[in-house]
Amino acid sequence: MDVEVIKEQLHEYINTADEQHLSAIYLLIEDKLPDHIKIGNKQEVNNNELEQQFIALAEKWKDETGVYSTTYQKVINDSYLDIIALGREVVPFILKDMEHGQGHWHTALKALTRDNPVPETDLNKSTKIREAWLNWGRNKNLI
Amino acid sequence: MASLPLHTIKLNQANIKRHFPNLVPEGNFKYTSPHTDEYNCVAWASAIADEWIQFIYDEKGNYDINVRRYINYFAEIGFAPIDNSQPEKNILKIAIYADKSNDFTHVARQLPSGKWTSKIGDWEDIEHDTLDDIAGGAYGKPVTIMAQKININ
Repeated sequence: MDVEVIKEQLHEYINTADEQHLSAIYLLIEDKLPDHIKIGNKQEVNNNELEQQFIALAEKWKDETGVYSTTYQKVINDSYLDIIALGREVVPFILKDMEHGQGHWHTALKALTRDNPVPETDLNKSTKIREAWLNWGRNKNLI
Repeated sequence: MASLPLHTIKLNQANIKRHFPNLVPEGNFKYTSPHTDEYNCVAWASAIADEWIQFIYDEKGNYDINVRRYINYFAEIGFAPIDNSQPEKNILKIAIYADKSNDFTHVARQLPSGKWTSKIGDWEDIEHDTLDDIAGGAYGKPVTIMAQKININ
């Protein structure tokens, strides 16, 4: 899949995203994506390598943003956007992390899957966000 | 080689050094809860332990985390601005922090002892001696003190 296709998909996502997530995705498209050709080369990366990339980025992200009290400050972070740029293959890794109680993955999962199982009324409830995505993952046989 | 689940990141010494120049391990604060992302500092100051309360976009959809939005929120739930942070009987006080851009960063709640309790992002709750203990780094400085009357028997 080439970069242009990814960009087209992300633009499509923008049309359906709620406003809370537009800025993060906008940055991804306009700023980050041209420098992340690895999206287009992801077929050449095996699953173990991808998992290691995900773990390194995710731990760096949590270390850098755990102090913040708003989701926006957490997702406007290079490592978080780099995780999205790795592509949909990281979704099972994210879900596995969520299974162990970790959060703030909603924006990334929406961007990567272009799906959203979380009702608007539950967006301030970490537990319900996690449950909704884990159920989504189980239904898709991703976990 | 690292493996999932991810290593749990907490308010460790490295993060204290990076974000809180005035916080002294085994000195002016203590941990009072495990780390969790079930609630944030705004919920904690509001006596809510299962929500992540945040105001990010204004009514037009523009990014706006100016501290006045959080002052307005606390006013709506019964707090009013006050000019001091000294402990007073039957008065609950909170301190709202902002950065140099006057963007909201944090809110701490005063305990009856006069010390303060803070939920640090995704990490632990801590009890700290003064408002300055968590100032000067990631949270900027306290810019507004607010208070409400409470009944303690």
